[in-house]
Amino acid sequence: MAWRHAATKNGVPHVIVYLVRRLLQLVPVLVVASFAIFLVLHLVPGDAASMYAGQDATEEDIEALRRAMGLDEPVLVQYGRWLRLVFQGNLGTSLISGYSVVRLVSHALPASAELAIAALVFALLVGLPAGILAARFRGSVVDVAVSAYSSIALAIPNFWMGILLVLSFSVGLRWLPASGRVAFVEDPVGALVFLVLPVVTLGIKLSGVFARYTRSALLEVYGEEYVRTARAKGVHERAVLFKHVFRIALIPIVTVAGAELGNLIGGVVIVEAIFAWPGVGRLMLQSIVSRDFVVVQGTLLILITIFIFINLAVDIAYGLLNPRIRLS
Amino acid sequence: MRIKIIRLLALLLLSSLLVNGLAQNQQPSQGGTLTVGRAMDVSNFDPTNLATANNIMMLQLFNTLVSLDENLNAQPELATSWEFSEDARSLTLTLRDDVTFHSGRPFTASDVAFSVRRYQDEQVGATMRASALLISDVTVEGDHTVTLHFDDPQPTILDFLDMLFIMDEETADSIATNPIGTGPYKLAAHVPGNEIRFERNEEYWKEGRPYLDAIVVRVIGDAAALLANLETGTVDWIERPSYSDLNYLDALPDIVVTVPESAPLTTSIQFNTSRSPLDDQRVRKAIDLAIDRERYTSLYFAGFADPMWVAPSMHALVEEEDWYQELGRDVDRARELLNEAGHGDGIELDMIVTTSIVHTGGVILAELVQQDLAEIGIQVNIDVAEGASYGDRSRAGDFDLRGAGYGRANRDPVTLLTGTSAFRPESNLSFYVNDEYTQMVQAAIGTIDEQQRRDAYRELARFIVDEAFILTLSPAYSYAAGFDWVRGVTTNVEGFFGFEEAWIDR
Repeated sequence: MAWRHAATKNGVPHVIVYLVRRLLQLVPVLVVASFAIFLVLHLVPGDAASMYAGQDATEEDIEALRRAMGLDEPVLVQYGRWLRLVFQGNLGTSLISGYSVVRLVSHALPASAELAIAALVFALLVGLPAGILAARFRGSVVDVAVSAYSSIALAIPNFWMGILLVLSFSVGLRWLPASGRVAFVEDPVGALVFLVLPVVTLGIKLSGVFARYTRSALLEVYGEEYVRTARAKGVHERAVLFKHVFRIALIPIVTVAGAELGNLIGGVVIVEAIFAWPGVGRLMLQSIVSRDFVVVQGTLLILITIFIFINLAVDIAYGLLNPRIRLS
Repeated sequence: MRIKIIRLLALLLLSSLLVNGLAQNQQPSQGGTLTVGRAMDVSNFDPTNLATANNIMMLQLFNTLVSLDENLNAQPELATSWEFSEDARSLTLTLRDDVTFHSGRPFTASDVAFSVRRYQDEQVGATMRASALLISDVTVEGDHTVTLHFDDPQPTILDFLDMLFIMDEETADSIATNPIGTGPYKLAAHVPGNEIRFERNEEYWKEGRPYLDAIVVRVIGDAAALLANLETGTVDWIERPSYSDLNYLDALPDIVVTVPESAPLTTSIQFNTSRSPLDDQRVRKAIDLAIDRERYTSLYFAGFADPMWVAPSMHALVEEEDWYQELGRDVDRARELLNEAGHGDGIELDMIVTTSIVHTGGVILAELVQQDLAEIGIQVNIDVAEGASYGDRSRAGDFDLRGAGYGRANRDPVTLLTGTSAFRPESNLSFYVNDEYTQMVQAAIGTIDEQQRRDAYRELARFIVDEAFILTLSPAYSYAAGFDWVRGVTTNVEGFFGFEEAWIDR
């Protein structure tokens, strides 16, 4: 942690300078990303007015509604109006539901966070032991099996795995619900039952990543001289593993876990769509279907911000775990 | 096959009536919370927006002036009585004087005037705007008397009043998220995408109603999840289970499948009659004759619906007539008609369909049509379009055939013929333009004598079947299923579920 106290620039700790710079970088990234998203969304056929009006509406009815929703203005004008609202701290109001985007996201985000964190825990619970066993018994059948597992887990796309699990455990065996969510506070057992399939779908790829990283990190540390010394001193193999090897190997593993949490956001969108999980992914999907672009735009802005903050936190955590890393 | 379906429906109806009968013989108990499962959340709480997703909240939060019974006769709701002028150009309604909104403000005639104007406002985007525009003016005669005026005779306007939900002028600006009505329940909470909670309106104007303390509506992904949640008792009652699950549900010992008395929706095929060769009535009729409706209803509706050739409201008027009973599949005649039209060598047509949580049958329909039409030498190319794209392409006429349902199917045919894009003479989505049709519809609308109007509808039914610009295939009911101790859930003509009379019997 020496960098925390020692490194300063004009009296300001380096970490503060670093944080301020990264946060300032956030603004142009968000503006450029939001403009790109805005343009892409407006290339999609259909708009909220025609979706809201329904199939029995006449062209005149739809045009009037378009005017009322402000969708008749040029795209750039619409974007400018939205951006002005954002800088005032307002992400806009849904054209369909009438709710503010902040309210919609605040309801959906906990469900997504629950899914992402549960998937991360699942991946760690499966990936870490698998990686440890593979390293401990290098070249054995266990090692080959873990390698095969991680290769398959990495190769299978989320959406395909999700459909496969639903077909097997919901449609076929009827053991687990195909979709939906129960809040933990209401029914903890029910919540776990609903979590199983989406968590496995989302976490399986990550468990493969962890197994592979853990194995290679452990093997690298196993090769160090101090490990050989410990063994030569007659330290029990379990103590060698957990006291001398695993602690050191944990640094890259924790870093990967942090980085993958950010990547999970992308996976969450797909998995929520498959399992009708009421999180931000499903909110976005429904908003795209109903062409409620204000919600899509606002939700994406929040997701991008979260993604950037997670990456920032990972960078800082990396520095905290490894004193050799300096933030400059 | 048809006998089997009718027997099945009769059995279900009988069991439903028995359950209801038992319920009527028992004293409903007060209290309790009913947990309802459904596939989707509401879009918003604005009652002018008749999106399928919004059905669950309408009758809980709002009232109408009248309510149509199963025979389409108006029954009093917020209006206690009404009288048409002799020329049917105005209708005077007397309103209840003991009704308050959820906000506590008394309901008066000016709320009726406001509600009508809100339905007419082009910026609101009301689904029934076309019907609302039949009212040219509203006169508030007193606190509890209101007169509706029409430019032309509107003897069937009560049909619209069954869908005119009364709103509170003072809070209407925020109605999408904060609905204030006069209905039996108030909105207590809404977690978007997850749950809606309705709580008993203690000041409700119907003595002793509602029986339940609260209704919790859980949004549960899809039909398979709905079924699982009902089986495990996570929910007590589910709205719109998958048709393919109905037989399974009905066989469960403690589950009752609710069979509605009429179907507000239909499934159909619409032609783009502005394009060749579908501008030729013989080609359209050939397609009509080649389609196997029996197979479609048995495969998609699992035997829970019968084939139809016109909307249920018109079907009821002509089903005993010889010409209607003779309708059916005739592949040989279809081939003859194609030959007569000069297309004996075959045709290639593009068919668009869409699919969503609530309309899952589009692809099944298209595949069956593709197989049926192949028998008469028509090659159908199926194009499954995403909802918004499908809507745009439909309005732009970018299709030959279009798989599409239509609503208002069991209301007075005037509402169907003037208010839906399937049938209105101007700007219908079949792009069908025919002066004779326009005149027939206009004549039917203005006919005050009920018997003469029914005759006009019969003629229209035959004209629509002959011209075949749209092919009605079957009704689409709003089924529900729930535990047998859930009593008194009702459906209105529009297929909306009502819990005003619902109670828990355990």
